[in-house]
Amino acid sequence: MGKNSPGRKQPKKATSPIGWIVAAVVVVVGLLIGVSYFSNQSKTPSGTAGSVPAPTGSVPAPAGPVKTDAELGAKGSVKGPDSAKVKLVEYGDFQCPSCGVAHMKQEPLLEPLITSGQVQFTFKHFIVVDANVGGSESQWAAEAAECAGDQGKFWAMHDYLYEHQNGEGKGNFVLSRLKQFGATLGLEPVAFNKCLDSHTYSSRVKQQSKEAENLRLEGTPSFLVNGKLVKDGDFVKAVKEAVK
Amino acid sequence: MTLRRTLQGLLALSFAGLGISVYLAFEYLTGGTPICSGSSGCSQVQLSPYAWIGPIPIPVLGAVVYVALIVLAALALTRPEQQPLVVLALFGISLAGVLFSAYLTYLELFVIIAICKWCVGSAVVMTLIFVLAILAYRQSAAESA
Repeated sequence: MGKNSPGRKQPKKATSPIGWIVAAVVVVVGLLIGVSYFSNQSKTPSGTAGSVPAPTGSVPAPAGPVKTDAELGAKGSVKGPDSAKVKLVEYGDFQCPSCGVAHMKQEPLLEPLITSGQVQFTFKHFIVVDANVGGSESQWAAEAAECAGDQGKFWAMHDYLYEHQNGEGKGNFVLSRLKQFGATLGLEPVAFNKCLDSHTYSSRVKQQSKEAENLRLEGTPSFLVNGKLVKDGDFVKAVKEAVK
Repeated sequence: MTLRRTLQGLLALSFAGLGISVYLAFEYLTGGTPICSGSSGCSQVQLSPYAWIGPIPIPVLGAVVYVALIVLAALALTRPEQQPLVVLALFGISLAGVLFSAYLTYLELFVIIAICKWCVGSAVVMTLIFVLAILAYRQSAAESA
């Protein structure tokens, strides 16, 4: 009785639950913000940035079975038949986060139309991130997709690059890393690595970027539906309208 | 203003917030871009990685919170005996909403550097709901005292 005097318990009874609610809410929201913020921030590998190859070790395995361009009905960077009613062209940069989001969240909505032959989807390079953050990783990543195309896996590399973005100019798409990507996609390494090292497709990538500049595209991703630039990246709607 | 009026206001604002969230969620999931009165802010925000938590678009999260607020506000209006507890829940959920909205607005202003008017609209609605929830809590405490 003496030790647990009821007098000490009284203030507890008067305590409003509001303090606990605030604390609980702050913790829950803090966790949610943490998940949201760090799932995007962690794409920036620790260590030195710029041209120094920071990440080492193995690269993640592809999400699903690696399909060849032929299996996807593609010829190089062009997916879908020439007879398709609607021609969709993307000017993209593999390091650009918005392009990655468009690839993962919006392009799947068009996949059935491409598979059924109603839409032809062409990917073209528009290197913009390198100029903003320094380095040449966008250029190299673009060349890697073209080199993979030599072995019939342009789209496998295209998808892998977009799905494994990891910060801009942070060493994720340096040549040594791109070679690992090639290996994980089952590309024959000697030819692929030689293609990367000798920058075989450097001029093709630069040519397409020049083309984008001539079209006065303001950034990436830019989508053209039947040759017309779609405002505000509203390309899924525009393609579906054009198919009708 | 009576507690009843406060709760009715909160209910009406929650419906407004739900309207915004459902519209944005629809556009996100069908590949459209919200109407943005000539600015590209909405699509810039939409295409940023922060607009999604894994496979879930942020507007879906907003819609869930607004539905919860609608259910609770309706409950508080129709079941007076449970009012004190429900008003506390309204306070807690709207506090979560206002904190998360502040984070999203921070992202728009300083990370994505683009403003989505619909998102700002939702943040304003959520802030008003939070103010009304505080008011409802005080009114409810005064009534039961």
